[in-house]
Amino acid sequence: MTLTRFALDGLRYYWRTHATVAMGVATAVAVLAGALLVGHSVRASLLSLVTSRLGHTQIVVSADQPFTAALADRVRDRLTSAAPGAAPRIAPLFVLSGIAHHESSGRRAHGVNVYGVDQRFFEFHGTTASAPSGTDVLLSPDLMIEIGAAPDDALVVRVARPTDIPIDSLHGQRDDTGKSMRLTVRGVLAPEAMGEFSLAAAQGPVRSVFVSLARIERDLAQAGRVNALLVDGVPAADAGVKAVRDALAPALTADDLGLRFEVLGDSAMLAEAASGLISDATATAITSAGSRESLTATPAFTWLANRITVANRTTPYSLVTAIGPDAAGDAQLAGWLKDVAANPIVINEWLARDLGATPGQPLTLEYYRWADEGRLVTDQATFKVAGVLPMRGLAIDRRLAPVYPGITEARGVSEWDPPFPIDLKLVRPTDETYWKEYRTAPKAFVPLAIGQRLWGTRYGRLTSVRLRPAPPPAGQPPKLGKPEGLPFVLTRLAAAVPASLSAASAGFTLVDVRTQNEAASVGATDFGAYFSYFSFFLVVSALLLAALFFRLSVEQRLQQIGVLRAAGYPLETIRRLWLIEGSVVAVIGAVLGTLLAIAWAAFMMRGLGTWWVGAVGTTRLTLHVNWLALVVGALGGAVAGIGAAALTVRRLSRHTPRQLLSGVPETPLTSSTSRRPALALLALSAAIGLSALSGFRVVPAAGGFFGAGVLVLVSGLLFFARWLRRVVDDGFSGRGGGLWRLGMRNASWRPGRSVTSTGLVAAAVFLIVSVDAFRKGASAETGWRSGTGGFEIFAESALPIVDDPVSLVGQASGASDFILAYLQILPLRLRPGDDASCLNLYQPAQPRVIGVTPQLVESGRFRFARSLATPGAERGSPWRLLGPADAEGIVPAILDATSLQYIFHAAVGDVITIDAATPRPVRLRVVAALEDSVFQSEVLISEGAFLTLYPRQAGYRVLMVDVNNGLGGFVSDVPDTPSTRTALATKILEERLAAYGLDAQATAARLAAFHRVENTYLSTFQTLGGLGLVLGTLGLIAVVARNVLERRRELALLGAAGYSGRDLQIVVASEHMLLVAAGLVIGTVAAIVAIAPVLFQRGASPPWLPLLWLAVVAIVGALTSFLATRSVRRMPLVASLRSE
Amino acid sequence: MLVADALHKFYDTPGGLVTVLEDVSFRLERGEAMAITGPSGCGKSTLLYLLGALEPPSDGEVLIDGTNPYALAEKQQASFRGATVGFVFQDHLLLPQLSALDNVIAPTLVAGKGRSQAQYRERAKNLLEAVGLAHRLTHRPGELSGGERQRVAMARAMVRQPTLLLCDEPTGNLDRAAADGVAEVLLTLHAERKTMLVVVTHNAALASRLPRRYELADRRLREA
Repeated sequence: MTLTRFALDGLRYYWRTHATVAMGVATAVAVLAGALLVGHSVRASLLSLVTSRLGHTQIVVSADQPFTAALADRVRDRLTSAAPGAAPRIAPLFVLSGIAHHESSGRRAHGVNVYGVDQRFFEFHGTTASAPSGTDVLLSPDLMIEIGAAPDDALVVRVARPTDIPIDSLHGQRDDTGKSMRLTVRGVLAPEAMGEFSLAAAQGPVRSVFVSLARIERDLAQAGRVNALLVDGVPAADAGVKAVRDALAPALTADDLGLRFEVLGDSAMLAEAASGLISDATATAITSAGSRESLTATPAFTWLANRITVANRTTPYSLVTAIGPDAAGDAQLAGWLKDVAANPIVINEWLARDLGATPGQPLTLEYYRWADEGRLVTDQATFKVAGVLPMRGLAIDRRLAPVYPGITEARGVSEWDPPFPIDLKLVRPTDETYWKEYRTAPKAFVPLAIGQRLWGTRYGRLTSVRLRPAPPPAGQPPKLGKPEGLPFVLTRLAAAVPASLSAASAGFTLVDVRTQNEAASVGATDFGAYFSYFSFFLVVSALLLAALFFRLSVEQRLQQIGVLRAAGYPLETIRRLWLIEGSVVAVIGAVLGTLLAIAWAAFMMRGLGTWWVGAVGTTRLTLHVNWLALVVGALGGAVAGIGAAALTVRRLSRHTPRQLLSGVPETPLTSSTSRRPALALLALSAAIGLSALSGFRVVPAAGGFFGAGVLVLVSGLLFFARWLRRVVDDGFSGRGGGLWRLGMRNASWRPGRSVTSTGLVAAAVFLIVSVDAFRKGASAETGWRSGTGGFEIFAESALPIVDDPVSLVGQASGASDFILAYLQILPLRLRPGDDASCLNLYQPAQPRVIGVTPQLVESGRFRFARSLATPGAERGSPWRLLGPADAEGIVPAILDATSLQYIFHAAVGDVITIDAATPRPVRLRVVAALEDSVFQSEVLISEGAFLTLYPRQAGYRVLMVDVNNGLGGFVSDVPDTPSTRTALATKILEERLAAYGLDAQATAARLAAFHRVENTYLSTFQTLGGLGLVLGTLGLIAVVARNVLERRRELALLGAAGYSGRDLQIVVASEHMLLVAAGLVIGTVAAIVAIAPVLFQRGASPPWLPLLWLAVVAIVGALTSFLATRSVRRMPLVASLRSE
Repeated sequence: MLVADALHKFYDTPGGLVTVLEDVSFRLERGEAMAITGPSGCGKSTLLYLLGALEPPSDGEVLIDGTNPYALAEKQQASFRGATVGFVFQDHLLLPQLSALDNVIAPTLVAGKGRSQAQYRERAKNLLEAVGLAHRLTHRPGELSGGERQRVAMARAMVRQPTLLLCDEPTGNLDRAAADGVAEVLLTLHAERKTMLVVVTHNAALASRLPRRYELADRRLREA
């Protein structure tokens, strides 16, 4: 016999009691470990999903413009030679976004991934699937289902057409920015054959089509070119990116960069870009490479002047070249243009004659400029004629102008077909004569600096660079004396320019997409943490229940403790004995809970895939058992259980040995009780005050809510404890309800038990009622200061819209029709990327970015939750805080408050980094947060900053639309209500901008989609709170059952005194119902006080539904307690009287 | 020697101060025995708890072999109580999870060094034999009769060879035959082991067999 055996004997003997304690601990562990397991499972599922969708892809190389597919081989060769033994694998492909139109059903899918692949793609991923050929197209399983396609169906896939010349530049071809391909569905590409291939980290359905690479190359006129490379077999993370970057730069050719090098005559070379514009970085590279070959570079920027006017004479449609200071070696021209401040212009002899111009005369240039807001602007600039060039040399050099489709090849000016309007009536015979003789030779020259200032675009500020041998030092022969040497130099130059450019400045982007997406799979939302928070009450309830049961088990054996104390056991030893028992029980409960946790987590995961699918947007989340989560949960539960046991045994010192021997543990209510009403009133007053302060936004809403709630709960329980005391004091002196009063007095038999179990119920009720107040329904607010900004429609196009969308809608209808009178469209630029809202479970690495136009800034729409705006400075509109990057390169940004808090885990004033894994990370300072807005998926920056950060993002992709009253009534049979107006406008917009793949959605519906997610989280919280209520009720039943057991002799005595079985049942049931009712009332009052500010601010009504539900719970609880106490009616009288 | 010197006991209740004992004094030498009788609720058990270092007096002093147990810290007091005082309660208060033998051994688990558990075990067996329960060593309390349980309780009280044995209505729950048996055992143990014995009882027969008899009435102790 040892103390340990002593404890274990107790454990065995009282196993029934201990089993209830163990079950309480097991429940706590199951819930806690289960929550952690849910978090792990979500992360593991996301990781599994993203890695399976990436296939073997490690790094993705992409470029602004298509490049040669052969680059894949060159990069692989260089990687292999750099790391012998390595086996890098590279697959070239086209990655596009587009629209899929199922012809037979008319169904459309927007934002579809369009992959141009050949067999190399499938070999790269190690699958045996055959690549599509000809007009065949393979569909991802999700898309196949979505559009209901079947093999041999016709599918029209429309994608943005890659163009050399940016579409939102003067010479960009904007008439048809997309290319439609009519294809035949060959079948579905199974997930294991990479049918769900995706480079994006998103859990939603994968909607993709796989088209033959050859077919895409042909249809997009990009023979032998691709726009992406998938790389595998390189080291992970930064080392791999560096290896690929190091291999990429020397493998690039001029062709990859869209650069052309050409020998001009016998003494010069020309560098041009297929885009017509050379970027500054490329121009610098050309100049540097030329310098190394002893070549002098002359940059030129040629632009079209609509009119050149001197006095009252005008020459239409002439090219003007802005030329570098050395004027390609023409000393006379260079001299005339030297004084930039004088706005000099040098005209050729033909123009001088045509205009009758002489040096010194003012000359006006009128020209088109493509404004960033998507329209042509006609500007003017005035010069002073500085000289007249004779018709030779540069004055007749037609290669100063790049090749412009629709112009360069035209036989006459009247045959020009440019992508901007020209007035052919202005063209005179003499202009045609000039064109025939000199074609694109510029008629005038201006200093390069002036030309770049007037016509410069974000795509570039040069049209060509001319190179010629540098003049030899005095007395030395020219280095490139022989013309036949130029082709040789040209070859070296063409190789040197790409090599001297970094991948980034060459327009290439390398992203370790595997590392990035794996990191993103950690998730924006830590489900483990959320479920732990959501389950917090459940865990606490379970632990309280375990503690309650443990306390009951200790109280059951108080006389034993008294005997041991009488026998000389120190209190410490007794505590240790009971703690050993409690610990063993807690450990057994923890082990049991570990097993239950797996079942619980599986149940939760099933919930996420079914009832709560709105929170995750996918059914692909599966249970992944993680031992660490289980161990942490088990340890947490066991420690908490042991802690609860330790607290209980610690209270043993409150009892004298005599009290222990008597078996009556309750300490008599002492004078401290007399302070309870005062404390309760104080707590209640503090709660009301806190709630009011929260209502006036003096204290944070969350703090106010929880603070007020807890204070009312404490206050209510203190009042209840006091009331129990009064019941004892009053005896039977009160009026009426003798049996009920007797039952209520029973509740005061062990006030600690009664208050604890009532507290459990009250806390659960508080959570259930109050959480419901935070549900967001369809917002009734639609004004300018609401979450919709007053816009009725949020539309997004698959293809960029570069022209004024209102005009496009009008054109599509065949006339500038009535519709334009009813729609106001605000176009916004969009950098596509990861959804930054709660709809995306992954951490957005490259979030969607919107450029906020000055119109939106000026409108002052939307409501802000917080901002850095100072009163007056931003004139009440935090939009004005947006602007260019500061000196540190940090760009001001606005985010939705919900996304900011829960997705980016940041606050207003913080600096966050997006695009971190790309060569161009962007740091953003959050200057304001929108309140509950339709922009939860995006990061908002100023349009100016957008164009600087993302110069290659052409056109507009997001349209915010106002729909005016009357649209509905204009169309017959459609009533003019807000919803019908919006539905009609949505239909019209989608139809008329179908070529752009416009997907329009009512802003209210968009907001509702976000709310659905938030509401689903609240439902989860409520459900788990409801389970806590179940546990609380179990606690109540246990308390009542225990009271009955302890007082069965007393009850039997009542029976002997003439109480019927039914009378005894009423006595016991009334005790139970009193505790339930007290819990319901205290919890509900606490909830109403806590949510009062929310109800007040939203003008919402109280949460009647949960209140009604709780009323039902109360009634059912009462009936259940009545039924559950039926055993009292059958209690054996004599045996109970004799019982010990 | 047991000395009770001017013991007072009162309780502070919500209904006011309740005095239970007033100026209780007596001495008991080693080997002496005394019976205390009195009506129910007169404070007999309270006096026993005061004497047994279970509840401090509100005033006055208790000395057991010259030691005031209430002057000791909780741990020392418990150790002193375990070594010096043995209790027998009206409700035997055996631990239901333990066998009769283990119930007797239980107090020795905190006896500290001095004797081995084997020695205590042997002594426990001897005691159970002495009270006529040699054949019931492994039985649990639920398997014993009321008289047997009380005899186990007496063996438990004697296992650490206390100098003071305090009995609170040891025969109160027993029928006459069992009560006589228990009384016999009690007096035999007292005689053999020379303990100081204080018995609170309503059992006149038992009280009459003890050399000193007191009555507790009106909060005061008087010689009967």
